[in-house]
Amino acid sequence: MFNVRKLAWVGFAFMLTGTALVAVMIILNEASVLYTFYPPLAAHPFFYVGLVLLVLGIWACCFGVFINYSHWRKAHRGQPTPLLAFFAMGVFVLWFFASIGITIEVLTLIPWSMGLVETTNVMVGRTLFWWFGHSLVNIWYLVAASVWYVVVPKLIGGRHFNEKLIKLVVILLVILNIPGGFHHQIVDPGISLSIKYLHVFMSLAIAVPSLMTAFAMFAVFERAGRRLGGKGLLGWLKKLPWGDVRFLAPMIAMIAFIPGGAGGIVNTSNQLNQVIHNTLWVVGHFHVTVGMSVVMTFFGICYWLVPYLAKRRLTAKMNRLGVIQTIIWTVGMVLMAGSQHAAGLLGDPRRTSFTTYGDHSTALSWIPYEYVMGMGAVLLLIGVLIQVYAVFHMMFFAPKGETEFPVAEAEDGAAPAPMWTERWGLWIVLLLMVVAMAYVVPIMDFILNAPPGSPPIKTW
Amino acid sequence: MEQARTEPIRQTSKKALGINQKDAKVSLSYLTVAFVSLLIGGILGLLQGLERSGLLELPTGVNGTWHFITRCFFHYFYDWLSVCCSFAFFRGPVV
Amino acid sequence: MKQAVYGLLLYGFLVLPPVAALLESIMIVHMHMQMPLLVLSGIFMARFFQIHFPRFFEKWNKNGVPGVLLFMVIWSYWMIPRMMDETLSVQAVEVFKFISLPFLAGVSLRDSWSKLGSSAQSMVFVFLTVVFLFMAWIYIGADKQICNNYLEVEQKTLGWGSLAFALIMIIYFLQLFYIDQSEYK
Repeated sequence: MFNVRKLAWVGFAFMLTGTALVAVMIILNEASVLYTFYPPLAAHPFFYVGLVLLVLGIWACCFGVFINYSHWRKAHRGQPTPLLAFFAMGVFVLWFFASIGITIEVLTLIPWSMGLVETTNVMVGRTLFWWFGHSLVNIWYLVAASVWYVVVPKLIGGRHFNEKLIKLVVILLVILNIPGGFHHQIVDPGISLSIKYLHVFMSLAIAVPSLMTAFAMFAVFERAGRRLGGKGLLGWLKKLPWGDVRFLAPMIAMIAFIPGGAGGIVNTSNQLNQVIHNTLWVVGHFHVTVGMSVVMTFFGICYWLVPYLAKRRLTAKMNRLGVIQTIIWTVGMVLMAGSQHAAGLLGDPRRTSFTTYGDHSTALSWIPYEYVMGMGAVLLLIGVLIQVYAVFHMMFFAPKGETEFPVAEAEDGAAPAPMWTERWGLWIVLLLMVVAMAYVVPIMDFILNAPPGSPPIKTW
Repeated sequence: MEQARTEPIRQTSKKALGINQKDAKVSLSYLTVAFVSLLIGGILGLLQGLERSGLLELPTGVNGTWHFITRCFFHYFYDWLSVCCSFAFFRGPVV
Repeated sequence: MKQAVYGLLLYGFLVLPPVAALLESIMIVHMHMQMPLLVLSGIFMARFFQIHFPRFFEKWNKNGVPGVLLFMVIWSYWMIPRMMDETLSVQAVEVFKFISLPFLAGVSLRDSWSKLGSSAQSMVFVFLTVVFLFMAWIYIGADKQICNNYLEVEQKTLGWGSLAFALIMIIYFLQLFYIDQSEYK
């Protein structure tokens, strides 16, 4: 029998080796191929080997969780899984099936970069990459959402929302997720317009569970605030524990997801995407969604998870530092992401160095926004320094003691989720069905109508 | 009946208080890598932000590499942290 | 009854000429998305007929077998390349498609499903898997264009899509064997 903890350590070793190998290859200037490392840009073979190790490490964790889940099922027959575990199951199912695309890509790129195979099919590579690429950010988002649904209600002294709805959101996010990556290829050649149009629906489908989340969360806040004596239309807002960093950080994260999600809909829509494609707008978009929604939730988690794991306490002083950090981070990110959105709308491209294009007037009009971006970056580094200090302080120096692992309970008398929500076999089959619907057409088209393949190209 | 219905959820919160110390060690190891990555990514990110704003000129040749390594480390931060958190969340309430 | 309204809405959406034209413009979407969606709309709308005409179903579909046979016949009929081709060329065939898939296949499948035993339900799955495998064989293997309205490359894509669906159905079957389903009722 596999030992789940050992699998986690195996995963740690694989991921660390992979991480180091990838970083070294980039620093040696052998792998300047971006995060989106699809062909024809070719890196050193060791870069891809590092990625394989990284994925193997994640798979070890996946199998650990799957095994753990089946143990739990056997020991607790007829009971629905606890919410956080259900989320974790969703996260790792998504990790596993999303990473299959990139694994296939990387395994074809290794012989290509070594020169054993002369050419590779660029479009297939890109498509397999985005099979994974967008799901990856949704994996982070799902982790953040688990905290919003289960932890935040406890911190504000409320109860979590209807368990059935929460589990349904997880199931929908897992099933519908992978084809969402297609909107990254919305200006790619070789894909017919009607297929792109159908894919807009697939991408927008993810907005449905996200909107369910938004409504559910605000219902939880209002209920908790009113229970604490909040009056009037918005009086309950004042009753929320704004001074508690464990609440403040994820709350700002959730609010940031409103503009973040709206921007995402812009990116997914064919015509609107034409305006902002490959501009700084996109950079601004992921600074809001990832840099705020995900990262601030993760920061908020640290203030209870780290002391909890290290058997220490969160002090009032550390909480105050956390609040200050959250404010600095918020201001920094608003400056950074706001100016990037604006500059992007004016046409400022992403993935370039600073240039004025020979003092062209359009390029000069971007400069004020770029200054604001620089100011944001300074604030963000201050935020990073405080956060890293806080985490290591809580890990090693905070006073010893017990910290609560905050898990909200259901409303009194609320029914547990129906058992059909636990049918992971079926959810995985549906996920595969959706993937097949989304990817068979473009991939077959790229293979059957393939242009000449591309040799490895190194532009630097 | 009432008791039976709410029981599994009550159990959740009680069990969550008892994460195994050995599991905590795994999670803390993941967290450490995540925040070291954040520190590296943050410093490089500032340099990249200043370079992109035209406020700082990085030596030629190094310039491009900064961009790649920054993104790389930010990704490490998210990936390591999300694996760690999910793992801790799973082991916390379930074991 | 709410279900029936959702089914009707889905049906109305699929009937809209621009939607139908878009879905029918791609061979695999025509067969693997539009047709199953039409059946699905029928499955939802079945509630209406079950409530208003219980005697009819009682009389003609007592043990569920006639209904599921009708479903199989209709489904197989629309898997024939020539039929799909004709929907695009002959208006009457197109009309028949929009009537037969929801009202003959979808409604009867819904009414039969709960009346069938688990072994009969498994047989429906086996039937669908075999049909998909057969289609994969035909469409990948054919070295000529078999529809006037679709290119050979689309035909091959449809074949590979059918193979993918068949494999997924097999995966579904395998998990039924390994996971105890009684827990989820």
